[in-house]
Amino acid sequence: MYALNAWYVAAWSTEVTREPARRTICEIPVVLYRAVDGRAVALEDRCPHRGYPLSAGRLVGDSIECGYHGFTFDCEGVCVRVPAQEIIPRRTFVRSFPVVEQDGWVWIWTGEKDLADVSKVPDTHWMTDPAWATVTHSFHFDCRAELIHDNLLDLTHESFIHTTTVGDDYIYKHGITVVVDGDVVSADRLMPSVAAPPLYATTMQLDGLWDRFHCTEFRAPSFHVLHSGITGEGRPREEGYLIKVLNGITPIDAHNAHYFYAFSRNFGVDQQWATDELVEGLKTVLQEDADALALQEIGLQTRPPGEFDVLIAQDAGVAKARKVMARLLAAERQGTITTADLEPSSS
Amino acid sequence: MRLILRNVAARLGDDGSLVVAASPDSLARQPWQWDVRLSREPVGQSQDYVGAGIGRHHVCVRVDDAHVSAELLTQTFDDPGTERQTVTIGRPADELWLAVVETGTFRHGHLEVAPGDVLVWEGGDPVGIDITATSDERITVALVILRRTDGQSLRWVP
Ligand code: FES
Ligand SMILES: [Fe+2]
Repeated sequence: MYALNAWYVAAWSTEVTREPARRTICEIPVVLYRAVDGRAVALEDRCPHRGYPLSAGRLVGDSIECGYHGFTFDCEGVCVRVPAQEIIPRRTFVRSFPVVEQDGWVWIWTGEKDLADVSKVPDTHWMTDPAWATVTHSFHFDCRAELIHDNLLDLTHESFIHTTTVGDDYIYKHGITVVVDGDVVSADRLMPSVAAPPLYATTMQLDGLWDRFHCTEFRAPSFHVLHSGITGEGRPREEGYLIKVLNGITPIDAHNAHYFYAFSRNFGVDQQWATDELVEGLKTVLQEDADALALQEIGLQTRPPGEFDVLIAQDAGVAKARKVMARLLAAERQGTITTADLEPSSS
Repeated sequence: MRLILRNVAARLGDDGSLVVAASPDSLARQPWQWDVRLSREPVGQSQDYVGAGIGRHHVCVRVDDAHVSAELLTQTFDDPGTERQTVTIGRPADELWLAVVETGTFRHGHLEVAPGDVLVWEGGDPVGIDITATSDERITVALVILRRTDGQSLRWVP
């Protein structure tokens, strides 16, 4: 079950070309391509004739021709050609999805078309702002998307999983502030007078003590902006070395997710060596998360029914986000929140 | 841990009441400890809870009184307009405090807080609650103080 009335990152702009590309999003097969005028198009990737993936076909102008028997569909998913006959049967269409392309991200709306509200596409302007430099990564995570949400909302895991990059014991010693505002849940941690984490210290060429902070802002159900950085002791955050980590989390199915990751920084913007170092360092961080969550996914799948997560006060962000997700899911099936909505299942 | 629930009061229906905070908060996997309800009118049997009308709301606190005790009071900060200084209130780390903001706006840490917001503080970080008024309106909050009867620390359970 997915919250479908939402924008999900489907791809980076660079991945959408005149070659059809296939993506599975919330178990929906999607083909992505560009029309002749450059517009990104997203159609259901299953030919209504006999189920062949349209992504295995080819583009003919703005349309896509199925590679099996040549049924052809325009950008709206309307069948415009059936090679073997003149009449196009009425049921011959594929679903098209609203698409927004912004700052190098391609978003698709997987729910009811009438509800697609472009103003709800999250802000990602740091990607294209010249005052910021950005490193991106794409990962396949062998886990349900919810585990990534939990992971990002509880950064105490940095103390254990990312010991060589961004972790330190002081993280879990500092409390969090969780803010719930509609569908947005944020978990903020201020760590006054600490050393900069190794990954950033090199890039920023810093020593001494700093106020470190990170605030995960989860825009349910699909996107997190992690506002993090370090600033002088007692100084406002805006003055500091700032990082915006953008995380597009797109479910593939119940046990797999796409992870679109962008790390924008407002320091050392022109330093290519710093960018190169971050590309490698951040890949390590993401791989550490990917490995850990794949193990957690196995742990959950093999957990006997009747055993449940033991959440503690530090998990307030996780718990509140699960509640928001449960509310979104319940709204889509027009029902009330059930226990199953609120915690990970063993299947 | 500190929890800020934005504009909770606005979610009250005309005759509605709303559980704004509870422990456990989402699933009854651990024994029920307490909940705080906000309503337009008094609800339920008064002997079952600690309740009072504060500002525009009725605040009602129910506890498992074998383990938890509750105190409910109105806290006012005078003359924020003239002073605009940061006031720090000490909270014993073993107590859980909950505030429903009735009037006034203030900055708390790096966050702006407004009427209708609900705040919860628990655990050791932070213990000091710092408040800086950001408007001339007097700050009034309904303050709920929860303690464990055995003297141990009362932690919020998700
Ligand atoms: S399956 Fe597509 S044309 Fe036959
Ligand atoms: Fe991580």
